[in-house]
Amino acid sequence: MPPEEEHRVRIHLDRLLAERGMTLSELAARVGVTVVNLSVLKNDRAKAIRFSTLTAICRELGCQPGDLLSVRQD
Amino acid sequence: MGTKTWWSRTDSRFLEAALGLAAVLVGVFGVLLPALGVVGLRDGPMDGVEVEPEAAARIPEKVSAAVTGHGMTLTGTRRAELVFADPDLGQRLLLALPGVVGSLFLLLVLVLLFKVARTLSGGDIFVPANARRLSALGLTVLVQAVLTPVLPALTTEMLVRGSPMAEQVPFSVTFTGEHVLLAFLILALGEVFRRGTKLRADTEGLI
Repeated sequence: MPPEEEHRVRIHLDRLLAERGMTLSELAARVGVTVVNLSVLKNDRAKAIRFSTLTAICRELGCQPGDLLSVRQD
Repeated sequence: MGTKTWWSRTDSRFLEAALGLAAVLVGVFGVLLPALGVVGLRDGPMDGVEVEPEAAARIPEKVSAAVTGHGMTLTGTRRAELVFADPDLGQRLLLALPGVVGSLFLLLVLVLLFKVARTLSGGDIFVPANARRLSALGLTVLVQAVLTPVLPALTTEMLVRGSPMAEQVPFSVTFTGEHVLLAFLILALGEVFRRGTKLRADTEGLI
């Protein structure tokens, strides 16, 4: 198990949704996860994301993982 | 998780009540009353202890005649009871000690189980505290499994030392593996809990 430390990964889901004019609930329905879980992801409260979820989100938003995720530089 | 279970919140409350009641009863009858008997504040059977006599003393003719000396009487065949006519404070303490220590261990086990049961009624039993409690429970049972046969043998030895009765009551300890096995099972369960809670903490927040 990796050491317990605060991660610096940022999610840009809100920006991608706004650019595509899609709502969170619409994306949740397309991806097949709950709105609650997607909201957790959007608000940077998720600790991890499954590759299958990431694939589905990128598929629906027409983007790459790098468009969705970035690491904050201190 | 949405899965149906036959265990309800009321069952948890009953379990808590039963464990709490058991702890109170053990505290009163296993610790408090014997302690009062030791200090002489309560009359009660605080004058004898069951022993395993020397082989020669098991011959019925000898035993029926009863072995006596120093205010003590030894009666019985395979299992005998060593009775003190008028035990002093030290003798009463030694007579009561194995029972009181056993009750204290049982009390600790019940308190730990009570705390585990409280988390069950709270809806989440797989918490790190319960893993620690189960480990403590396993260690308690293990220590008790070792001490339970040794302590009565030691106190009996101290009681008869220096008296003619010492020849009739040899130092005898009989271990049984059941409680040791139970202790290892509980320790293993504690480890399962510890790894399970760690695994859950690792997957919490997984989308």
